[in-house]
Amino acid sequence: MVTGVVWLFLAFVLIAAVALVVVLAVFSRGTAPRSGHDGVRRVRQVITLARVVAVVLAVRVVMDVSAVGAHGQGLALTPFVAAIVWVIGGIAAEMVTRSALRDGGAVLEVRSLGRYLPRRGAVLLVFGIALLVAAAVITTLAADPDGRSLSYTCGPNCHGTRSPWAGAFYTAPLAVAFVVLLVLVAVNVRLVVSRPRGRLDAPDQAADDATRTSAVAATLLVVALAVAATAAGLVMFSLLSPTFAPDTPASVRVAMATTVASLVIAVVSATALAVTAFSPRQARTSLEA
Amino acid sequence: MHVRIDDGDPTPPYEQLRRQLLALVHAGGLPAGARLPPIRQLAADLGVAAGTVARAYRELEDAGWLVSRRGGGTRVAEGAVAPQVPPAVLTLAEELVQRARELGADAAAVRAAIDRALARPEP
Repeated sequence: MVTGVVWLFLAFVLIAAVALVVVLAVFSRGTAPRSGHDGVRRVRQVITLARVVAVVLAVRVVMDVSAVGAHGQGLALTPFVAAIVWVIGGIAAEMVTRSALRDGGAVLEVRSLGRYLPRRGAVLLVFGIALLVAAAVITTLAADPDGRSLSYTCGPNCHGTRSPWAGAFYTAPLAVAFVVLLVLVAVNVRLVVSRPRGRLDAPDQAADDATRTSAVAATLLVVALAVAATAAGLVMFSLLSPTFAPDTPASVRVAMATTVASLVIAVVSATALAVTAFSPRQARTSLEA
Repeated sequence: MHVRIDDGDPTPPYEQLRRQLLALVHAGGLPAGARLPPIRQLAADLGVAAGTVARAYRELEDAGWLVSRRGGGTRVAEGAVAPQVPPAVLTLAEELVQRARELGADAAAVRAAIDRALARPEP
């Protein structure tokens, strides 16, 4: 029964993600700047190919990781592990295309993260992450010593435990995976921003800027999706049942509210980042950044 | 505005870069206060070592054309004013460059010829 619910949940997430991608892809067709420059086109093609390969690998890894550990420990890790695989794909694409735009020349411009960062989506993502971390800290502190259950009292001489509960048994591996993901995201974004480019014409430069903006947004998008999926899993499998029990301590309700807020903000952030990833606007100039 | 390193030019890459940046400052392409790319970025774009760009920047800093501040990057110095060139001298230089190009000389050869002429003692 539980396994069925899990697979139903994963299927729902997958279908929702595919539907979002299709809708955005259809509505964003032709909006990104085009370029006839071989190097610019090659960079875009390699990044797209790497993302497709990374998605396939992520699905495979999710299937393997979900079976790791006991009591659904591996399943809790799957969103962050899938995101890690996706980001590694982005890093590989950046490494392969490192010299694609070099021609011995250089434009005297300052390329910084501020030029390519989708600010609204990034700020929302930071809020979503902060709320999820706060919720995880609350649930970890409230958990029983075994780190995966929550004790409750139902009356005189009536005690019980609820499981699964997001204690250290689940949140410690999640924290490790999350830190690894953040480090890889930082590496990927740095590689995107610092990718060398030579003397490009204005339209080619605009197309390359769009590719960089899209790559940064796509990297943050997958973090937002991982945060949203983790928050959704926390609500469904851990918080939903105890929150509505009459004897629930206030900290559980606070954790529930924080997690739901994190979920909503992460979804809004993911939508904003997905729009930028599929239909990047013109990058800011050095002065605007 | 762009710069380029010519692999076929016997002039060291840092000197090529220094001359091009100075020419841009003199021509007004890089106005006072304009920010230059970070050393690592420009070196990666040009495909040269970071030390090459650092040396070009340092020499221009020593000459007072650029200023570097920690966290503020490298900028064209506020006091960097392009030297006034009399119109007659500019016309002569343009004629020289045009004639040299007709003879097949490249930019490096023209610069070397002018440097040699300047190095001769005045009569």
